[in-house]
Amino acid sequence: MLGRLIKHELKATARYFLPLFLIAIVLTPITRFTLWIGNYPKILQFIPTVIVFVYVASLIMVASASILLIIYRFYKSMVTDEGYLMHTLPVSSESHILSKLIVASIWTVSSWLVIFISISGMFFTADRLSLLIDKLSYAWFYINTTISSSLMALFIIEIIFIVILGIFTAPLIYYASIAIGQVISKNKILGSIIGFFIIQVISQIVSVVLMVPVGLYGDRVSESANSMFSFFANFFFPITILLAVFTQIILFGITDYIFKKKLNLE
Amino acid sequence: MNPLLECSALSKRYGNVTALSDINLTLERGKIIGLLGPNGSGKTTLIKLINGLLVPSKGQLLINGTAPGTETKKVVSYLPDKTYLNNWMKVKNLLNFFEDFYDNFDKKRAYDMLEKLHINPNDSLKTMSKGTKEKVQLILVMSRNADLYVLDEPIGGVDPASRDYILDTIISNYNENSTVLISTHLIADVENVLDEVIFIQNGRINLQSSVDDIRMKEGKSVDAYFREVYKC
Amino acid sequence: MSWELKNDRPIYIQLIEQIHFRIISGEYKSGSKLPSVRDLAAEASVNPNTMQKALSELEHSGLLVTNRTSGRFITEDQSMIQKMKLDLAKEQLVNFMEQLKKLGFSDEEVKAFILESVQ
Repeated sequence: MLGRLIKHELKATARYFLPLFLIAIVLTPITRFTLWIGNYPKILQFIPTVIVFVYVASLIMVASASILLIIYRFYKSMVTDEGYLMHTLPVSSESHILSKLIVASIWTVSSWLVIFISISGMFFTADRLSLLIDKLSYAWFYINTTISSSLMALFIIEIIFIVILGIFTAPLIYYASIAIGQVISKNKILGSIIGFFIIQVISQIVSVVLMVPVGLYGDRVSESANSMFSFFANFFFPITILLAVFTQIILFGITDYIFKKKLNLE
Repeated sequence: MNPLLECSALSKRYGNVTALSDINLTLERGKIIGLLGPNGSGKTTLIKLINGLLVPSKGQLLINGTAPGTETKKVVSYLPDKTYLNNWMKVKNLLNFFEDFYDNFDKKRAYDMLEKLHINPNDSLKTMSKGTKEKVQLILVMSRNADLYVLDEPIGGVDPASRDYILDTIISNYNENSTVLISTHLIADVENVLDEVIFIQNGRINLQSSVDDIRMKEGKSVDAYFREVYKC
Repeated sequence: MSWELKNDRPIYIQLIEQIHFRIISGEYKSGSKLPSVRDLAAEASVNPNTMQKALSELEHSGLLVTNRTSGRFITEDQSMIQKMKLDLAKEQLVNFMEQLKKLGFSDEEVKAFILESVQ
């Protein structure tokens, strides 16, 4: 069932994302070519300007479309009339939320990839690439000689975790806001905004409270590279990861509970 | 065998408003039952409770002996009183969707019904008139081999020919193991199709009786009797 | 002939009457097979349970004969059908007489009236 939900969700959202991705990718060589031409006579100078503008706009759209569409899809299918179809499917509400979350992350990562490909495509030259590789290998060499490799490995693994977790946090915040919204108010959009603020306020308070001991401890860390990395890898990152996991479980739980017990479609 | 639907002391409150109060109701299989009542009587609340879209404040609601949840949703087929399908979807996508999620969906039956109505499966809902959209929704719901069909105002706002088609579809889909619950205020049009009626008002059930009993006892149609009972 | 059903009397009784008519008029020929309950119900736009009730009553009275494997048939018993025809006619006559009496006609006036209209 989860698989089918994911498949359906992908189908429903691909029609928005794929054209956007295509436009951004197609515009890349076009823009690059336009700029490569170099000197334009004055009257034609508007051409590169417009094309660059459109290109940048398309990248911004790809970056922002993801989260906007994720919010819109969730709202529409879960708490408006389409909810009558969704919530009467023989599927648990956990599956619903999970499927939407998974699809949201697929599109988020895809958006990043598209932007990365596009920007690399814009600026790629063989020269720049070898320069980049040079700098990176130097940095890598330097790091390897100053910091223990196990610490480095831990550090990198944790960073990967944090990035992956981060993909799930934003959608969950919006999902929970939407769920809370339809409980507290007849005007679901207003309620969602209020719900969003409530969640933000609470999470800010919790963050600040937790960061105080972290900050105090951090003050005592000596300035050597090794001990700084140690501070992050052994202390700061684990706390961040735990906090993120904890937050996501709570947000998921709130959304799930509300859909199970406090659903109020109109 | 369990009765199909059983409500005991069922109540639902929203804040200070009591939508349903102490409902005791049993629905047997193999019947076509009308849920009749004025607006705000609690019909929609009861329907939502049956479909698991609301949870009871007090009391119990059981379908085949189970509380509403994933298992009951497999055997309850619901036609809401609104367009609840995605407008951009084509009819054939919808059929595939229903087939994916409902094991008891009979795709062939659906295609047959669509063909009889000359509805092209490649059309998207967007391009259809309201009446045609409603027919598509009805076909999807009735093509499932469910135990309980819950139809909320299935003939409101459609032309008389479509109305006849809808009633005929309900009749021809009848089987002794399933029950159809029709919620409507257009009593006169559906009376002949109903075995039983349930009168609901102010969140309480006033009457549950067979149509024939009412006609014999009161000497008038259910519609006329209803108007009498609920005169403002 | 289409099914004419009124709202203020139980449907199954009306269905029985209408089937009587169809047998008498020959629309349902004696000995012929009746359509299934489902089909008849759909034709009359009524609940199949109600149609079933009507058909059961007709079976009980002998006008319909059920063969377990092949379905329901109109009886071949012509005398039963004739009797039914006569009963129906008598019923109509009684109603007619009563109505005219209510309007104030005497028996003699009614007799003259009938002879005249048959001419």
